[in-house]
Amino acid sequence: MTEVTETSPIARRYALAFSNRSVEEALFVSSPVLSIRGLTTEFVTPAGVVKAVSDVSWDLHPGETLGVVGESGSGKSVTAMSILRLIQSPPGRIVAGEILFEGRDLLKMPAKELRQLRGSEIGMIFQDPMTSLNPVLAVGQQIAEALRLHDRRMSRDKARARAIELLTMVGVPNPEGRFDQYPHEHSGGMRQRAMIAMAIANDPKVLIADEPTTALDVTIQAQVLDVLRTASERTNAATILITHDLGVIAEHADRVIVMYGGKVVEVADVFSIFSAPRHPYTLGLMSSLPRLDVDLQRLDPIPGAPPNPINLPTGCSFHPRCRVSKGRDLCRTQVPPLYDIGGGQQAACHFSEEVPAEMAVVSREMGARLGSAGA
Amino acid sequence: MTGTAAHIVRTLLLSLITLLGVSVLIFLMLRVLPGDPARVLAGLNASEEQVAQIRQQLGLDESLLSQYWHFISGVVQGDLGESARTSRPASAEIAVRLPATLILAFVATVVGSLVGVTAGVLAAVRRNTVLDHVVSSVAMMGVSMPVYWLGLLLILLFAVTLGWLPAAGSGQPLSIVLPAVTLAAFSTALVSRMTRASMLEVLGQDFMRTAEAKGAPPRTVIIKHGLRNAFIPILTVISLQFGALLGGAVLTETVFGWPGIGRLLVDSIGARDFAVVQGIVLVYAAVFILLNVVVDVLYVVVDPRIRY
Ligand SMILES: Nc1ncnc2c1ncn2[C@@H]1O[C@H](COP(=O)(O)OP(=O)(O)OP(=O)(O)O)[C@@H](O)[C@H]1O
Ligand code: SF4
Ligand SMILES: [Mg+2]
Repeated sequence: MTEVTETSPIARRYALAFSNRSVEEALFVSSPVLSIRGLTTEFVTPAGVVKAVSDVSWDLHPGETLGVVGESGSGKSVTAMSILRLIQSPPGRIVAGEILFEGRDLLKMPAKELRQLRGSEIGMIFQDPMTSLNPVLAVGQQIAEALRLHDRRMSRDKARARAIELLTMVGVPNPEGRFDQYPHEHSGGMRQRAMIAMAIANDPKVLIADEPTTALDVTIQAQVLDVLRTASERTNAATILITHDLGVIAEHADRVIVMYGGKVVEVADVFSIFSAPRHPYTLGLMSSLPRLDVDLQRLDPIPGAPPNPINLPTGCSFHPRCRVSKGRDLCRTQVPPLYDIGGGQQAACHFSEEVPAEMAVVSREMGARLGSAGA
Repeated sequence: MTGTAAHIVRTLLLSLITLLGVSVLIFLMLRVLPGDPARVLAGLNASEEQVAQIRQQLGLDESLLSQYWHFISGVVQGDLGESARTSRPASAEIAVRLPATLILAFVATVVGSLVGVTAGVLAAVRRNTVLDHVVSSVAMMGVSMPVYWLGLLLILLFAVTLGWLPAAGSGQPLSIVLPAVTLAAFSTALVSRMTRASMLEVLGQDFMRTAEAKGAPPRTVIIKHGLRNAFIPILTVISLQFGALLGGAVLTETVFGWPGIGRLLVDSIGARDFAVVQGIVLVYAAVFILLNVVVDVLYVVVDPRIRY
């Protein structure tokens, strides 16, 4: 058992897949480095109160990569920013919950203590590297700043040398020259590498990457993700990887959190998410996965519009779009709790046991359409 | 940086043409305006012959073209002509008065910038709080209060009633306080409003969040990351204000009996002292051009994305 957690995340993933140990068992070995409990974050807007995140709970274990997926507006970024209390207030406020980092609640911590964790124990990478880097400071200076903020005695020269080392590590060519250049003199990919260097500068225990490649050219997305993976492996950071891209999840995540309408609707290891989802929304996501062998972009996108976060549907907020519900009252009246399915899998659905059968139906439909598309 | 150096050389060369244009304009304006310097100098009771004689002495009987030629060829050799009132070289008259005005405008600009930027940053960071509203109201007053009125109020309070500061003149080191504060009031107000607006734009930007996520304390986030990015429009307002203070110090200099160039200009226009007026206008134009060059360089220093 210990052998499993000591290896790299990828090796561990294979170990999990090919051993008979359950994920639950494997993860039980280590206590979580970060635990979110009942997190609820709202925004007060002129149109009403936006319930961006409601009652979200999950754990992040040392060394793992936790993928977070969900449609636009499902609360992924707000969850990530709540962790470091980066929600702008007003209009935002964290209404309830705990965020435990090594047992300490970040939400109750004095601002000064939290600052000591930001950027040192918990590093963050944002979506758009153009707007997330300060345009009037040299890129290297921004990395050096991250170092010197957490080590007051570090000299400028030492910080520079270390920043250049970090730039080398994330694969920036000519790091000495690049150090003194400004963000606008770098390409998108180089900027995001610099952001990664900045986030891992102090060997954080937790790395949060919020759609780190969405703003980048498709051709360099894979490279940057590899850099991120190498970086988190080298620093042995547990990584939260927020993305829209199920391909990225399949390749990089150990476990997956699926969010819908500000709530967690499914938690599972990456294999179960793809092969045996237990929430109808996850099933919908999987069947919208583009297939490489067929010249079709989207086979079965989930019909209907994302929920209005100011006025969420009653009961299960997915019910207006759910193909499993079939109009049953329970779905419209009762909010489904996150049920334990076993094997570390959880799903917030009253009828999660019906999902495998529905999956078979979906597969047949897809097969039929693939057949006609191929013909 | 080579691009910037070339830009400066180009600006300075072009400014020669500007200066030439200014010299033509002021030369013609003075001669088109009613009022004959010879008659003013000769006094009310002078005969026509006396006036004609003075006119000849001043060279005003020559054609406009040859008068201008005299003027401009003198300027090129550093000779601005002779003051009609004092018969001393106009350049000497200006040189005596210029430093007082430069010092006053400089001190007022420094005071106005420091106070204005500080107030503006605080107002932006604490927007919609009492502090913000107080800054806005005071700024409103600063912009709308006439200079001579504010000047007289300050003299009444600090010189007459409290006796803390000298009321007029430039004899004591503290003499500059009241005129500088008076002069700074308007620019403080303007700079604080611009700073607030510019900071509000920057505060919500992504890189501010990045700085926070790094663990930077609020002061570092706001000043190192925020103010630096908000500074270009602020710098523009400050430099424009410095220019305006140079030219607009006339009222303040009058109220406080400050021996600056503004009063010399007004007196010289009244006396139709052509040489001194032309000289002052050319000096102003040259100072403005230099100011612009300095600001162009500062832009590049503040924002590395700016290239010429
Ligand atoms: N500053 C804000 N003011 C008002 N509402 C906000 C604010 N920030 C986020 N929200 C709302 O919170 C909800 C969750 O937003 P969030 O950014 O977490 O979505 P997301 O899952 O990250 O989406 P995306 O995939 O587009 O990044 C959305 O409905 C959004 O409109
Ligand atoms: S609870 Fe009902 S509506 Fe919600 S996902 Fe399950 S079946 Fe669908
Ligand atoms: Mg997001």
